[in-house]
Amino acid sequence: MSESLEAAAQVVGAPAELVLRSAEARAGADGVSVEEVLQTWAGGSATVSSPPAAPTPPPTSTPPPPPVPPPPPAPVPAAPEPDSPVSVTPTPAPPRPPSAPVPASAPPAQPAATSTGPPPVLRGRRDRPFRYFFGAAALLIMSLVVTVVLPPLSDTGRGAFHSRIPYTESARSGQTEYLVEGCAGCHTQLVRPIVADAQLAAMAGQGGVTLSDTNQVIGRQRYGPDLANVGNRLSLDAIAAILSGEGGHVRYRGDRMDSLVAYLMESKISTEDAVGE
Amino acid sequence: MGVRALNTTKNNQVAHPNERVGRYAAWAGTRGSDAAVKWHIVCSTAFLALAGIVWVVAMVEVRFTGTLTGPFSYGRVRSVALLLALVGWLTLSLAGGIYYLLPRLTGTPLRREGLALAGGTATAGVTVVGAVTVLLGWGDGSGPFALPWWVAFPLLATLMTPMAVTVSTVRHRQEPNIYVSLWYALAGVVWLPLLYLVGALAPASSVGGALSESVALFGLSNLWVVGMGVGLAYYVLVKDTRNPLASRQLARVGFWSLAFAAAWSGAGPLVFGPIPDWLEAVVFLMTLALPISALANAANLALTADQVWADWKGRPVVAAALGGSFFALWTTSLTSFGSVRSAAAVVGLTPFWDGVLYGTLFGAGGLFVAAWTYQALPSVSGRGLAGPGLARLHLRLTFWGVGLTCALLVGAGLVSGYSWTGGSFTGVSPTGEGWGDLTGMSSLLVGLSILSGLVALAGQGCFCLVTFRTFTSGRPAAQEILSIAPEDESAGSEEGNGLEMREEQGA
Repeated sequence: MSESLEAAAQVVGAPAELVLRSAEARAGADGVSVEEVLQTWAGGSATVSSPPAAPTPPPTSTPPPPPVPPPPPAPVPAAPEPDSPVSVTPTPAPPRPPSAPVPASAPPAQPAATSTGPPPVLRGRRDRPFRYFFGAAALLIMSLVVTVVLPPLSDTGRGAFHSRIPYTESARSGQTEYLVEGCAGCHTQLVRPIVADAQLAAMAGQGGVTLSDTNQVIGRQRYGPDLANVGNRLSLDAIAAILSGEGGHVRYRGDRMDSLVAYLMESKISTEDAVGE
Repeated sequence: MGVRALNTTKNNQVAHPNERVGRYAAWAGTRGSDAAVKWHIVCSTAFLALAGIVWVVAMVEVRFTGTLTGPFSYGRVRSVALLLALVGWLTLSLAGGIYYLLPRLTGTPLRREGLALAGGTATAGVTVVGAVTVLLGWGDGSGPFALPWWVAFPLLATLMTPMAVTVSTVRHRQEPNIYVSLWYALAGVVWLPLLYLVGALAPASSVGGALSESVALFGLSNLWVVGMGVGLAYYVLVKDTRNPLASRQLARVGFWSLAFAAAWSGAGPLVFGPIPDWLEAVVFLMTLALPISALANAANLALTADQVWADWKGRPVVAAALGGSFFALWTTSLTSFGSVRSAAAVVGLTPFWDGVLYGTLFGAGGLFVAAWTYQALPSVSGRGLAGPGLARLHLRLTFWGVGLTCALLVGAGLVSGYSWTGGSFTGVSPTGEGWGDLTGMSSLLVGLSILSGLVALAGQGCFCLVTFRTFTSGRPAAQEILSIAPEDESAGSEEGNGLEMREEQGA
């Protein structure tokens, strides 16, 4: 095999190790021996469909050329920008010899070919790939610092105030339940300084939550009513009735309901608590 | 310079049933047989089926509140639906796409393929555990997925495996030139864990928690899902159409504007909320760049597919890639619109943002995933795409189902916003008993979105069926030959070497 390998490597113009690996894979695909593949590439009998891509046309020495000499890379006829190095260039279709026959016992169930015609060439550009890695990371970290880290550090802002609600143990447990049950998926505790929330602000008795307010679970959607300062607006009985399923609300029972009721009832913010604007 | 030539089967399958030689010899003696790609496709497809169903359940629950209680209440199901869709389905699929690209664009076998397989398996396992945990009420309610820390951090570790595999493979690349898709792969693998970390570290309440959750959720959808989807589309569209990439400069504009702007979009839903004025202004300016990115990429992809426009119906890869870029343009435009202060006063806290999120994940993400999967399936499975008609049906149902759902939810958001504003003037209470009067029309639109969501779910079922049938029908055959072309006349120039990728019917 070594002679065939050397001959094939010489014809192909690639290191013998790579040629051997390629030949093994080619042999596996076509169901022939590695030796046959190497002989074919070295100019022997044409039993294998595809030789490896060669850098130059095979030498015009004693061994005959491989059956399918790959054409030299074509110019870039379809490139939109001649000076742009990046293009995907359809090379001229190399003549394709018939593939190795497949035993009748093992046909693919579906035609496996996806396309015909000349193969595309994906051309990149000499680049520093990790420029994209570090550049993308740096941009993301910068934006995260500004959008996530800095805002909570400030305690002033539109309608901001500090609520100092002395929650009981049961209410704190209720706040945990509020989070775990995903109540913030439907209810906000957020009054915005806009027309849509104007009446709500008047009813809630206070403006928006503060930037450093840890008592509120702000929420993200308002599929249900806002619950900011709800303890000032609804009675204990009304809250308990809603949580027991009245009006189509999700039903709660037992300790879970008791703690949720306690949390909502104790969510009362008086104007005396407000600090800031 | 020396010649680098490599020609080997990219597929581990052999045509001869008794011929075992070379079965695992693809890529020159490595295990490289696209095993990681196949595993990720299979896993992500299973998660797609789950996520689609759970998402519809969540939509039913939000419209008919109280229909389901306990583990299936909306608050829990919403987090689970997000987890299954964003991590279980899209992340696994996009990671598989990266593993598919890497050897083909770097000219080297996928490094640490075992780690890739283990990472994918672990991600799938932890996702299932996390979903069950949240459904049982053991979540902590923080972050987009509400996962407790003992699930969230193992999941973070598994999400770092694509980065390890990608960096290792790129470091050992034989091909010095970098194609556009690799930009996105290299950036995507660092965006994914960073954004997830922000969500996982979200405080349970208050402003920091709301910001972290929103930034993580919209960052993952706009940067990771759309970004990586576009990167994959750049590869598969060129491969499928055999057209040259229309413009590298346009691709560069698309990439950097996305990297620059997308993460800021997370603060958009909180405009007029408890965030500083300066941040609102910055967010508005930054999100303006988001549609620019989507427009640049959509135009580039459309121009690349120029010659096959007429035949797009017969080419599921082209149709999916272009459909995905359309959804990306549509949803990023909505995101930008919703971040404008005057618009945010109307659409803030409404179903508008759910519509945007749904369109991004199931529209842009779903179609980009379909594009690369349809292109890769024949290569990695050794079989032709089973049921091209079913694939076309999938694309049709997805396009119309997701598009309509997105539009209905956006419409419901606008109606809600204007109803709240009107109610504020007319004295109808926006809390308690007046709530139903305010949300009547919007509830109708949300209800209709369930029907269109079912259409989209049927499309997703078609996709699962195509994938399943492709992997299970008949015997596989080798078919792809990948070679690194020798240096051509451009060697030594700025262009350098080319990387040829050839597909052949091997059997």
